[in-house]
Amino acid sequence: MSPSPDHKPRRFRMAGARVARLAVWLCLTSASSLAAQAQPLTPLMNPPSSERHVGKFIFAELVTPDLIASKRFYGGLFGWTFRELKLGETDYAEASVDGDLVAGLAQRSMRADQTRQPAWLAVLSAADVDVARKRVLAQGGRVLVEPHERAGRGRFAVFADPQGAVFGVLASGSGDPPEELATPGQWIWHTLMTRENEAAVAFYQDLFDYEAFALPLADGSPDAPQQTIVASSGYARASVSEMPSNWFQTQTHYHWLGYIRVADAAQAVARALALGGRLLLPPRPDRHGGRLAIVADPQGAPVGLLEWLELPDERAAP
Amino acid sequence: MNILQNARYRVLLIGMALLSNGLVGCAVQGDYAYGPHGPASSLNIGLDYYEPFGFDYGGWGPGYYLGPPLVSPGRGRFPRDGPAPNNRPPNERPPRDGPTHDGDARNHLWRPAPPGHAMPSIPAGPRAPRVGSPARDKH
Repeated sequence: MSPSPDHKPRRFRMAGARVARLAVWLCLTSASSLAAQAQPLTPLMNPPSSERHVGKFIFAELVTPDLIASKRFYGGLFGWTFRELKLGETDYAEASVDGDLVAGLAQRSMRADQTRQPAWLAVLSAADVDVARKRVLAQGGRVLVEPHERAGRGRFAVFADPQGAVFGVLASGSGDPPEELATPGQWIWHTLMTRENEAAVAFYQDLFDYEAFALPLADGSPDAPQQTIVASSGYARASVSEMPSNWFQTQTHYHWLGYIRVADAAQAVARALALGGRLLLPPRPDRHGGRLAIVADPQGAPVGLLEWLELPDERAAP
Repeated sequence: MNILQNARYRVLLIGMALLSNGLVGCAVQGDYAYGPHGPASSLNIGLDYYEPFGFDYGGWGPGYYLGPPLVSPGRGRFPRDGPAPNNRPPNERPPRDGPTHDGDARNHLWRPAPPGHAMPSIPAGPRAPRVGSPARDKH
């Protein structure tokens, strides 16, 4: 029997109410996901700065399969403190030392059969990330993450150079950190390990307008690997080092490696090992007179440790 | 008759609102991630930043330097118009084809620094007091 015409409006009203309730619920859930997605990152500079130092390493990011363990390691080793936040579905922690933002750590689980390891992503200052993208592509590099806005942080992208080394660029919305000597726990140096020094330097010079300085070769032999220092705004930013030839037999991966300033490299290595890290390069003197070492965190990400001895006038207050 | 007073239209409008809401909600979802996989133009980039390297860092012999230079006495910013420093760190021998720091005689794929620009070191200035700082929570 068909329903009488009098029942239709009531049926529609009931259906409408149910749909309305569903709509409210969906709106609330969507709003919560939107809120989680939109949680802003801490600005690089607070208060904002007008400084911009193109080619300077201004931040670093680590994707780790165990965020809690990574925080324990880096907090214990460098005294980093963390601000935890949610970025979409991803647990994220911003690391600071002495009030300066130094790094971001993101959680991402790794499949049991996955044999890869985490690595730090070095992030350089750029005036215009979209222009940088064009230059990267024109010079044979690759775009791994297209330029996009990061709420609270600025415009960001991830590229790979023609030899495969991965790096990020950021046009910080709050300006760049000042040109100061890094304090212990902060990034102080970066090295690009590459196969073709000349090509690599040319690529990054085009991208960041670096000045380049060839270094005396380590052992003076014609076949010794080349090294180059790249500088911007009158300061050295990184060294570009050809990997030793014996590396090519086992490793063909080219990468940026960041160094954290430590007061004592040997003590820092001992602490890293006690925290579950691995020793990759024992402490040894480097060209500036301080010692340098490389360790891997418990998840395998390499990180450099570098002593830097201040001259008396550098310790003096301005 | 006002169509908003018609129950059928109201249901239709609510349905359309739900659909658009759902689409927006889906569009902003995605991992906070980067990597070579997935549609790089959206937020939903498959993260795969795990690299197969790191455990063979012992290949460098003695004297293979990695860190920044100590250009004494002009550590820090180089003098734009000043002379190149003469006293270089020990163990830094001349290159195979001539001087390097400035006045590099070799042909490079990259542009050598202008004459008079000595190789600088890292920033040497002390840390200035901070007015504000990022919010911090102990780990």
